[in-house]
Amino acid sequence: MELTDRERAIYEWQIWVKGLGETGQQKLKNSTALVTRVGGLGGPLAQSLAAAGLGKLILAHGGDTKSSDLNRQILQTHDQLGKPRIESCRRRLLELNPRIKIETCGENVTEENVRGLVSEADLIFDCAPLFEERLLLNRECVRQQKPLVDAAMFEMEGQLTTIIPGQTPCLACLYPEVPPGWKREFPVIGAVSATMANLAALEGLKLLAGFGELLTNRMLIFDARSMDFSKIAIQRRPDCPVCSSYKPPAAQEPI
Amino acid sequence: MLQTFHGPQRLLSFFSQVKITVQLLGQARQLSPSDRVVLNVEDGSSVDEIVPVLLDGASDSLRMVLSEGTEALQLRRSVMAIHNDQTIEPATRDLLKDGDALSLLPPMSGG
Ligand SMILES: [Zn+2]
Repeated sequence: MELTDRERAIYEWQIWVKGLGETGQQKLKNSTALVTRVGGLGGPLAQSLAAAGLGKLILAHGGDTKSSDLNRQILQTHDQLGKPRIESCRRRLLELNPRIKIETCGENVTEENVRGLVSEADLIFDCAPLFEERLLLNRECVRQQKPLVDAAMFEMEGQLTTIIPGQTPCLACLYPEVPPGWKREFPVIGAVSATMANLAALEGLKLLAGFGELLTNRMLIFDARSMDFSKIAIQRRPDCPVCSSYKPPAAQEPI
Repeated sequence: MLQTFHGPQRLLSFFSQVKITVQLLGQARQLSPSDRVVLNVEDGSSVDEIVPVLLDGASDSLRMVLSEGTEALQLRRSVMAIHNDQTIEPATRDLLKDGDALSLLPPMSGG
């Protein structure tokens, strides 16, 4: 689909960005992204994608809004307490940009829904707190060969990497097990999760519009206490339970 | 057979200790009284060999985050060992030199 004159006017400031341009903006308009859990990380991420004019967002987020969500889940509002979080996500994103399509799923990623959710998207953002959920999403992205942007944070630190199945380490290369004793709730300031969210959004926008250099085979580490950003090289695990048996299409035997 | 051209200093270093600075990140940083620990370890030690020295006297919660194994503690496989801006294999010896820094990054998540 071509950009309308109205859209050219709305996205003018980013169309001026070298490498993005009208072609990139049109690619964004024709793209679909899945954001799983639209909380402290997924909320500001979805907000930036919506503002940038990504054509369609699929949002998966279960549960009702709680008081303890409000320090970071910026798509939730005080009048939404006790009501489904996903309603507020949809309403607030459409207020921000009524031109995009939003499809919602009122539950988190599960064995039952993961296949369908991933299959509809060009790009997946993993914003879930539980490793079971993240590793499930990773497995499905490797199976369907879909790119996955993985962001995470803890307290005053954050990390980010872009996973291209077959070319980069997958999440199970980094975390071959669910870390024992990991809890869904952990210390974090909303501005830290929002920082990681916006860095993840930038990775996604570059990937979909086709410009810039991606954080592939590298992980960005952010320390908000010292304001240090560093990048480290990460490697595929030869015995990875998820991606080690995966062969890129060119290497596959004809059927 | 020992060869003399290595000089006395080289011979001494065979049995010497080196100083490694361990920087704790994420959950390990939160659970430890200090972010940075300087350890004296045997020259050539792998990360797996440094872990028991690091965790000597540490709290159970820090042990659970960083290590696995009961007989001999080794680095938990979901914790990244970072040296010179790359992840290194915890079992490999002779990667860390005197004065080097090693960062340990436990898993973190969204939410
Ligand atoms: Zn893998």
